Amino acid sequence: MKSKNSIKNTAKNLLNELKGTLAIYNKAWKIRKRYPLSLAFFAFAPLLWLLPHLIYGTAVTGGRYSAKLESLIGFGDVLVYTALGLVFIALFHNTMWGTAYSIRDEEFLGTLDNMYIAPISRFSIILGNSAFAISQAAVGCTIQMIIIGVWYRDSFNIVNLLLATVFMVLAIIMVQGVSMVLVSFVFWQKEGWRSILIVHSVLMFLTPIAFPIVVLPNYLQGIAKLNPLTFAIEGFRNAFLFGVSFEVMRYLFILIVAVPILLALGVIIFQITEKLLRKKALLGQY
Amino acid sequence: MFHDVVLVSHDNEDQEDKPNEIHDEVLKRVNKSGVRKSIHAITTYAIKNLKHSLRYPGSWLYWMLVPMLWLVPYAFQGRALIEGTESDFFRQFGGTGDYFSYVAIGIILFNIVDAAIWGSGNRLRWEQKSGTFEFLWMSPVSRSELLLGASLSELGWIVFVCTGQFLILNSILSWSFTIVQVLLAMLVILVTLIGLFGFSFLFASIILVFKEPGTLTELTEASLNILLPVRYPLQVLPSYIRWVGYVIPFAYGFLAFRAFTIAYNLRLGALYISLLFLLSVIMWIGGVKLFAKIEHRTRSTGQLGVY
Repeated sequence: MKSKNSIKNTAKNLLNELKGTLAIYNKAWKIRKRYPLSLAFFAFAPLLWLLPHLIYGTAVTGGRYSAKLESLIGFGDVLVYTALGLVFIALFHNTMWGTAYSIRDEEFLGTLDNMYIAPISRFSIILGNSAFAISQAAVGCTIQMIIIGVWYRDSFNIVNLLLATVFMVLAIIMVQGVSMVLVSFVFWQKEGWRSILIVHSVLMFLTPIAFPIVVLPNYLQGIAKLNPLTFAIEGFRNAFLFGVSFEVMRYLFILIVAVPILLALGVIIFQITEKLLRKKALLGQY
Repeated sequence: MFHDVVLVSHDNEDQEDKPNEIHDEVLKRVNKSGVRKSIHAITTYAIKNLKHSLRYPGSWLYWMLVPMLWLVPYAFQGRALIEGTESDFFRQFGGTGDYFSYVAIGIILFNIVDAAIWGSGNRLRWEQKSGTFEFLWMSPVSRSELLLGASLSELGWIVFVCTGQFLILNSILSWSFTIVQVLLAMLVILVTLIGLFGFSFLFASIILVFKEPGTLTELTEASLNILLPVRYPLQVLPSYIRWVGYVIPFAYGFLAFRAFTIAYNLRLGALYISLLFLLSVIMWIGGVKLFAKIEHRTRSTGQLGVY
């Protein structure tokens, strides 16, 4: 009887948290819709961010095909290869930035204290904002994937796309863990965007976005192999281009192990930071 | 000006019998001090802005070093796509086959465009956010002087960041430039700054109308990143987009700088710098006129101080 009640309570609590998350998600969209220009920009901006790298790639090779890339990875289409990496990282970064600044934005708007006394967990607040960031980034990502599909129409395979989507979903779950660490950092440093930008800039060359890691010097290859994003992005791209293979399954296995570890790490770091800041009365400090 | 008039009136209290002479004297002194007053207003506003940014010295260092990180992926991308460090396409259209040097110079020069967009263009909006906009608008200085002051303060920033980045890259890439090349490159930057002033006026007008500058600023920056020869020669763009790049004065700044430094083509450099000068002057005149028109309109509709 007692355990039945406890299950009932847990379910009720979870439902309430879900409602809270949904309310945060809806609130974020309501604010975004108030600025239609901004809404349109965030839908199409990922395309603009993609172009400099793509055009640069074709300028270096003098066309769409690279013999060197083909010899390195067995695929020579510069546009498709680079675009796949950029689409993935754009979704990852947009979600990361959106989530990392969710609590700081509440501070700016003066609503953080009200949020904190609301009967929902901090994680629901972050999750609601994160869901908003993901859904917003997904618009741009879908447009990008349609364009890639057109470029790759001759060899396009729906099963490969679905397998690639699994990598994307795992990466989105993984980004929650990374974002929790960044939220803690922003909470602590207030203007932590500079440090996030450094992390972002370093990740741009320690992750095989527009090039395979074999072109990196040996010491950087070692660091890149410790980066879980490397496996996510390589898995995503290989799954889309070549379908099921031993390599793809190996990347999938590494991600399945890494995602819960990163998620747990993020939650623990957030809880410790929040506790410390509350203790020092620095939580609501502007 | 008012201060001068009062002083003149006091100095000449005993000369009430000569009103015309006094009037002439006052006018003479006022006219004489006009240019001086303008320079004083511009430099005061520029110094105020510089004082603000000097309060955060880490920020200067940060913006000098972080863009260097943005260069790295382009080096590895190039290495993954072709054998060696030279690209035929870049040699044919960019004046040099060394694609990495091409991008490096592009990234350094883009600081000027960035300063025009984020710094001077958004300055009025930042004054609005700081709550000092109305005070500035009521002060006895012209709006143009305010914007020139804003652009002047950006100049300090640009010189610091560009020189630092240039020295860092020079030590990594072992560029070897003659004194003449360096002087010509500095001349290009100087002429590009005329374009910066014009662009600041143009962008400030748009900000006055749209108020919410974040999206507009990002859109402009992202578009200029594509349309200007920052990372690749414009010939790689489809012809229906390429012409847009060719009417933006900054494009000729990039082209002239590279022509004088890594390509060392003096004739081409001279042509580009002439086009840069011409388009920058047109942009300046257009920017000032548009700004005056927009400012008048926003004042008459009561939208000027609207947050």
